[in-house]
Amino acid sequence: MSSKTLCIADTCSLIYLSDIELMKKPLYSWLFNEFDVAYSDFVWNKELKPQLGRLTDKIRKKLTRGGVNKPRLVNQSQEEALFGSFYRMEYVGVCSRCSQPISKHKLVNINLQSDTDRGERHNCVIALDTVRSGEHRQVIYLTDDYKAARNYVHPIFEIFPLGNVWSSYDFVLYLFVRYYFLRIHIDDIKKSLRDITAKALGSAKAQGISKKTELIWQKRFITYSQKVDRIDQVMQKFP
Amino acid sequence: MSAMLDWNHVYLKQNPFADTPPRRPEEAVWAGLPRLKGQFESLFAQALATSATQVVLNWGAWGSGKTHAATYFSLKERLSPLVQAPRVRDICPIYIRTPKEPARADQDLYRDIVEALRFSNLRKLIRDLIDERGQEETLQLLQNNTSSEPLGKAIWLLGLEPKKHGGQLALFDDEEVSEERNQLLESYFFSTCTKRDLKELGLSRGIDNAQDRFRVLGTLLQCIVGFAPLEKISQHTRLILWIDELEDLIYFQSRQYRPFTQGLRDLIDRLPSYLTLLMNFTLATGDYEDATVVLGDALTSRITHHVYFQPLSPEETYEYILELMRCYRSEDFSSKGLQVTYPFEENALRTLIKTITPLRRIPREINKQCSQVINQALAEGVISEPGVGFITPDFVTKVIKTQTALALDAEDLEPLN
Repeated sequence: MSSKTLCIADTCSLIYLSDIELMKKPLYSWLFNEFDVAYSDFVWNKELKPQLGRLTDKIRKKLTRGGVNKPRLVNQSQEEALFGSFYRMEYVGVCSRCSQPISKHKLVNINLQSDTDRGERHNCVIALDTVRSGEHRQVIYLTDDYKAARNYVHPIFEIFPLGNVWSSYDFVLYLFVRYYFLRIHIDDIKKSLRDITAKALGSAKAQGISKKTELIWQKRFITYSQKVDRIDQVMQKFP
Repeated sequence: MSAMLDWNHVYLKQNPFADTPPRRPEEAVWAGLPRLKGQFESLFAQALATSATQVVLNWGAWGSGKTHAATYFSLKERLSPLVQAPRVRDICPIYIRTPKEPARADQDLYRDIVEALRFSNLRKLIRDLIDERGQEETLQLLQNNTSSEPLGKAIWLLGLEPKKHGGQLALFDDEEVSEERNQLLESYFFSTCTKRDLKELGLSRGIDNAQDRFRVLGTLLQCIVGFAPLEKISQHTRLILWIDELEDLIYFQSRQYRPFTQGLRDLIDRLPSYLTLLMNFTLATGDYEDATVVLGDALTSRITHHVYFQPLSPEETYEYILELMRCYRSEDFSSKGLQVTYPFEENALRTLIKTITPLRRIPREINKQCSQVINQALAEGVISEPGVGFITPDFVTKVIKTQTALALDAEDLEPLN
């Protein structure tokens, strides 16, 4: 069993982390230093490989080096077992009194032949397989695709006690706690949060983004900035 | 279909429930919201009668009326009657939006403001200054104000009349050449001139960076405001600068955000008098403190007033809808003996207001609901002819339910939210 925690990362997060720096060091470097990083073979071949040109040489080397960090194969029967009969909260209608949306736990039919969100599904399989086999006792599932996380990752992690689902914001918060007494300043952390937000919104804008989504990101940024302040308050007093 | 959606059937000249603010200030009407209007009027009354710079944060939900307020109050004629003399000699309202390209945000902000000021105005103002103070004193004044000899000189050149004979500017001694000189100077201010152009203008350097741009901008704006002694209110112009959609700062990476907000802060500091800077900010939450997280300390620390565009109460909503319809009523409405709520039955209007949750009771949402219900009533022939047929509470409930379900389905298509 490895001494480092396993972090299962999605494409979106790896791309963000390669473009953003904290203390003049790319966030992906911090990630690979802190954790063993894993992702599915599908994520590697279909999502990361086509984007390698966008990444720096250093991260390219890290991603292609193999070893602990090498892409992991997921077989069809594992995916079928986990997602074959899959329940999650689904919108079912509008309240006749207050016109508010109503959601219920529902059985969802997922087309397992489709490549849409397959990266997330396969990464979930890796999370389950890793804990089941005892390779790692817990994992961190790193994703910045909130919609895919809502549709696949959270419903799985709510049932299976596999670890935590993080966004890149959470990872930055972790670094703040971890290195508070060593070298990281609150302003640098806040800069990273701003950069993650700008990066995510910039990508989303290219695909077309509504004001509502933009404001969801604003809220995330505000929430995490306030968390940083709270951590700072506590850490200042922490013996 | 278009014949069916004739708003004259409901005795309205056009759809008053627009989903976007009007583009021209003359087209904007103010309906309801007397408290909010009063807040702005008192702010502007103070602005016109005193010298103090005001930095105002207008914040609220998306669609709460911030852009509409900016458009409505961009008309000098609406501001002038707010105070009697002594008051400023003139008002200069400028409306711009937060730059959409973060990588060149300071350039775009600079360009938008300079274009809004118009070179012809600036030329006249600086020419007047030269007439009043003489060439040498004006040059010194502008160089001191920009804290730069070449930048101050460039602004001074804007107002310098071409000479007929001799001297450096003899080159520009006829109208055609004068126009050429103006273009050359304008390209200087937009940083598009060459080294040769610089030499021709007699300037040692261009406008090189964000700091230069904000310095030049500060002095250009000071030229609008005027250089008279501070206490001589009637010898100054009040500059009213609206910056809309400042929530877009969220798109800025830290390396873009810092120079932009610091530049704005420097601009405020360079104009300690006769500037009213109004920043419109859409906030996802209802907490003022949250806005300051996005804006950052540089700007937040300069804010002198904040105006909250809060959701309306049911009664305010009712008044807002009635007043908006009143502004667009056709002339013959009063003679028909119809209710003021027409085409709604009074209960239908109350039902419509009830379906809007308290936090969404803001002009955009109210307009959207009213517009949808009336359009649907016209399309379905509920109102078949002018004054024939009413919108009932049941009809309102039916339309709102359908629209809510459609909106929720559409939400699912949004990427990465």
